[in-house]
Amino acid sequence: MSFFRNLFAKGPSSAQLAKQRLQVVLVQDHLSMPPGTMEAIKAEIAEVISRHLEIAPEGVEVAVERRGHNDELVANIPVRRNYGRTRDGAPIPLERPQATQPVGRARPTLASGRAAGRRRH
Amino acid sequence: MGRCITVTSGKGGVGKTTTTANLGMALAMNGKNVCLIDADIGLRNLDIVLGLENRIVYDIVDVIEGNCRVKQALIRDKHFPNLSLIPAAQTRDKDAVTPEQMAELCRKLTKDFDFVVIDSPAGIEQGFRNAIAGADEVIVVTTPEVSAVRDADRIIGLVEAAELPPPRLILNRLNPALVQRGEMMTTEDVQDILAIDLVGIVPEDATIVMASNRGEPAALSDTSKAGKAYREIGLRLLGEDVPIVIPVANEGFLNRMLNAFRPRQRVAS
Ligand SMILES: Nc1ncnc2c1ncn2[C@@H]1O[C@H](COP(=O)(O)OP(=O)(O)OP(=O)(O)O)[C@@H](O)[C@H]1O
Ligand SMILES: [Mg+2]
Repeated sequence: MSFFRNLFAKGPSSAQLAKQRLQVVLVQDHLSMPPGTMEAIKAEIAEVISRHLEIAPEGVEVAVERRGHNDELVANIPVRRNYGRTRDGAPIPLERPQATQPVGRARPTLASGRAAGRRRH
Repeated sequence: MGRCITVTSGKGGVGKTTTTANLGMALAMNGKNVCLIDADIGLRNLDIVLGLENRIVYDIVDVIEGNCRVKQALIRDKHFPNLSLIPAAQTRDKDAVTPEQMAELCRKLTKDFDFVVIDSPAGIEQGFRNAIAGADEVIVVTTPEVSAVRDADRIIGLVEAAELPPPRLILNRLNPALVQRGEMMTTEDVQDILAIDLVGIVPEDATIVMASNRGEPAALSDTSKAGKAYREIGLRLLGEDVPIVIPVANEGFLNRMLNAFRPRQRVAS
């Protein structure tokens, strides 16, 4: 009896599955890319960005998503935080001991003149 | 100058012919001069849905090849003298007609008629190209099923590539009970995916089959829900502001109670 099956069913309904599947397949239809294109785009974007920033290549995600009437290329590129180091990786000499600085917050070397000045008082 | 509207879908069997016949009726009921063209050459159907199959002398290929004048090929409807049909050729091929010839025919007809409504064949090839060649606007018919919606999306792209205005959508064969159970996409789902304006929703309705059995389109019936939906679409085409009401299921008490207690289903992401 279908209503019992429905009552206890878990997971997406067939209508939700239909919509999800369509959203994926239509993006593919619109782009008509040869297989492997997305992978190539992903690798090349990662390469370009990593010329300027240190990124986490394993976390890079590239997808084309539907936004209303348009399809948009959306890229997620995790960037490595690079506290207390210069561009070429050498540690930046700090004026004060780091111990009181909360890990993962603003870099002391970038604090603005005004804020830094106030703190000194 | 009249308007030339092409009814198309990509996928076959979703209700183009039914829609063309009923919109023709609906517009004629409102006093408009309407000419329907069956552009499905080789698979003539619009005549039989309209109950005019016994009156055919000439067909669209005769008109285009000059075997007869346009007036001679027009078949007048039984109910409305202001509704006519140019039937498809049954024994010819789709490439017996070119897009230029179709466009020319539409130009001629829109001089005499307020509306020319063209029933397109399924598919995206020559027959479809012919059907949209003379169109001022396009109506895409789909059902709430994955294959029909996917094909509708393809057609929308092709219509836009042909530099026609964005087509409008008719959602046909919506089954409210299935929607309520989560086993059919909702009107909003289909609209989200296709992202074009909706001009009407036609419910799944046995009176459509009964109507074509008789050769009397459902728009003529006061009791047919689908017929009412088509009459309302006709009014919208005429620019009237008729709100679109999404059909709901009149389910039994037990099912309503069960629905109330049913856990909301989530999409895993
Ligand atoms: N709203 C509806 N409710 C019930 N049956 C319907 C409905 N709309 C269409 N049908 C049925 O679906 C079938 C196909 O309809 P129709 O011939 O209009 O489709 P079509 O798109 O013109 O097909 P084709 O691509 O072959 O030309 C017919 O049997 C028709 O009676
Ligand atoms: Mg048809």
